[in-house]
Amino acid sequence: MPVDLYLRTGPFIVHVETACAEVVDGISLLYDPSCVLNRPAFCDYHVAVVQPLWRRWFRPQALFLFDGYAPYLPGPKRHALPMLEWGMNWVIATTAHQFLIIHAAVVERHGLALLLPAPPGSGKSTLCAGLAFRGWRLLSDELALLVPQTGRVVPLARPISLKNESIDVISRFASEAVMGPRTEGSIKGTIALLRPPRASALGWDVPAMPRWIVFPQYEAGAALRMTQRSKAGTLVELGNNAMNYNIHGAVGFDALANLIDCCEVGDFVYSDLSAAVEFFTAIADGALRGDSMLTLASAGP
Amino acid sequence: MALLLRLTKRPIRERRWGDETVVFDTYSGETHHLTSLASAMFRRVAAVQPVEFDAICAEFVGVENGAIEPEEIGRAAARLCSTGLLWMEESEA
Repeated sequence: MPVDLYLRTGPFIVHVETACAEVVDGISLLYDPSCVLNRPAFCDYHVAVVQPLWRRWFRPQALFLFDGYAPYLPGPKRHALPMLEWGMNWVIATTAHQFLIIHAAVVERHGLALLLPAPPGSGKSTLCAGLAFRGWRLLSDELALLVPQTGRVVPLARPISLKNESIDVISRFASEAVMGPRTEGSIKGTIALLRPPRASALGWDVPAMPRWIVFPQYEAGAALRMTQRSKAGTLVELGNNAMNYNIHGAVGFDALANLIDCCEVGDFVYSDLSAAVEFFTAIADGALRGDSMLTLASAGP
Repeated sequence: MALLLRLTKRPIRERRWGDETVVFDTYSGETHHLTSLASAMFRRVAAVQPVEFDAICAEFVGVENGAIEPEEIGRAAARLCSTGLLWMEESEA
């Protein structure tokens, strides 16, 4: 029998209908109880993870639906939970145009947000998870929701999608972290979803002001380094990384330009997660004294 | 006969950081990143137009003891024209 679950994820309430035990158990494990609502009066989105009738027993499959529409082909049933997360990202990215949506992780400390835009495989989620388990508040692992009118980023704290080697890295880094089952053989390799810290889940309605935009890159054995980045080039890069920049037009351009005006921007290379987390924490603490990121970076880690 | 550079009559939005400029073309919805030379040329044409291409070449080649090659200036002008921000035409004189 299908189960109806109602998830509050940032500014959205999502109705999830599913009979997949993987999804029900996964939500129970990976979402804070405060995010699971009891039949709210209104839902922003109605999604479902269903099993096609003819593939329930033979090589079982799961299919993600949004208002009855399937944006993806069905996948193995063991991928049902990541499929739900990817599907919810797709739904938000293609419909929530009240926000300028940038493909970036966002974390916050002292009310100041650090945006980490980067392509897959750059170590963005690993760094984001590391920071979230060392006193930073997770706003999002995947989608930065920027309000064009205020310049603030609205939280969308959902499970962090860790891939391949980063799963073990975070398991060692934060032994208290709650992680879902490993899903092997996905298009992105092995995936495990990480439950956000409780403080991040409880801060679902507290936006943050962006202060830093950093493009991280993990390089095995590399010394930690931060280099200044062209602000003009960053605007173009963020526009390319944004899901709906083309829809916002001039408003989107102004929003990105204002974002860049109020942020320091840099390229960051790291190999040691602990050192990277300490580095960013020092930058956030230094910001309270008026220190700039690039000044601290030039002084050395 | 001389080549003249003019701004196209497009509504644009412009932001500048240092010597670089980003221009948003509200007609096409495209965003253009102008590096320092293209940015300087764009601003030069915007200040007083039309400008003879030869005059711009002479002016820019003279900058920093000729560090800028005329070919670079030509490429920058071609890029500005291909983005639709500038227009090049032959003078009638």
